[in-house]
Amino acid sequence: MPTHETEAIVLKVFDHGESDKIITLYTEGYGKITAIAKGAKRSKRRFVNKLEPFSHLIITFATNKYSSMVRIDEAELLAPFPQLRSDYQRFSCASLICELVLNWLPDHDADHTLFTLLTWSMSQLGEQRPLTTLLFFHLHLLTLLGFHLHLENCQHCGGKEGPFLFHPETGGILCKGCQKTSGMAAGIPLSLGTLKILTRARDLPMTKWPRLSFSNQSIGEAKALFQAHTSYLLQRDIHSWKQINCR
Amino acid sequence: MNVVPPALDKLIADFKRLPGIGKKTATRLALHMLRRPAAEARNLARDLAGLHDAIKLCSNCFAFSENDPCVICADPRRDPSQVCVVEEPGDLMAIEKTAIYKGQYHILHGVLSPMDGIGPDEIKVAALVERVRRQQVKEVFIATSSTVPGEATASYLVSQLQGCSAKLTRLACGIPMGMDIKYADELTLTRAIEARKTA
Repeated sequence: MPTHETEAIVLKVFDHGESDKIITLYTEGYGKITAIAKGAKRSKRRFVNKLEPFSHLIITFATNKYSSMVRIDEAELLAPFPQLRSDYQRFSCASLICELVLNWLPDHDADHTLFTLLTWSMSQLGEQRPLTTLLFFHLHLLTLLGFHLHLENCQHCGGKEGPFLFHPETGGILCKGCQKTSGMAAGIPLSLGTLKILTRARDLPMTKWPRLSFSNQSIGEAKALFQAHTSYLLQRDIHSWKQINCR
Repeated sequence: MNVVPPALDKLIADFKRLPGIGKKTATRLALHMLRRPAAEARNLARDLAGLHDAIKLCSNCFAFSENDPCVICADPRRDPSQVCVVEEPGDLMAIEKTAIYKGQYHILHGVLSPMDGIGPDEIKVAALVERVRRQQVKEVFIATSSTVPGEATASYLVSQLQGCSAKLTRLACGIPMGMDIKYADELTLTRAIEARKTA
């Protein structure tokens, strides 16, 4: 069986039978893959403390032409991100990021930029403001997937005068006047401050990220926006959102 | 054409629902039951049918038990001021095997897992906080696994119990017996060094 080596972030792990584990990873070279680690539950050397959620690894895996599931033969731990275990908010934010990748990304579709964003977000979550990191990740994930949010002006009249409402169906904002005439269901109210910071965050590269500062109101509004938008696009709820406390 | 008699087919499907059992194992188990005397199958069916009526959750520690309170909570030799928090009933059994712990338990029945929709309200966290306050517990010994969800659950418990007067302790984490230290990862080794004790 041919073997491959790549960097990876562990998204989800569950036990399989008496001694195996099934792991979903986002890899740098091969995109999202699902792998079996034989004997991982009882392993004292090869896999101990490595195949844990959020871990950054280098894995060696073997492919099988009869199955889409690969077999992990070796794993080297690059970063375990221990801070994500010691704080529930950081843990919830990391879980949400992994759940988004699990649900948004197709298998075997590698994207180097996304892998960089994912590893950067995991390390930032442990050190910086977790909610700001989460919102930054979500915004940039949507852009990478081709769902560019239109937050500059009203999508119907082009007006720049608020107040504005976000509509998951259009991925953009409408002013109150256009909202009334459009016949669309009420959208998510966004303050001008939230629109400004989201637009700035969307256009900001990762290196400039520490300049961002979301107010509590903006974090709450952005959470409502992303939650509704993702549910609309994926046609399913993202469970981890329920555990994100914006206060 | 299905050559398997419907009753046998149904039993295979029932066994297949059990964790870790695939179609081949389910078929082997079903055929084994068929080969054994009918009384053995009837005994198994009777035990399975009576399981939910006989076993309930202890209202104090949430262990599976035939009585409420369970044998551990009802035992006067067990120290009620010391509570060991575990994830699952299987973990209680593992700690009991050591015969070194003489306090009581609290079973969470799960760990925090936001991705699976399991938050603090889905496990027995509120009941633990209420119990620690009500029973004037002196030590809460958190024995969740040293996996990411287990550690995150332990951190959450610490944050919830912070205001209580009870001493909060955590199961030590480090090199397992029989392990060569050169195979240990940095995180495990760091924890082992931090938690070293006088020889």
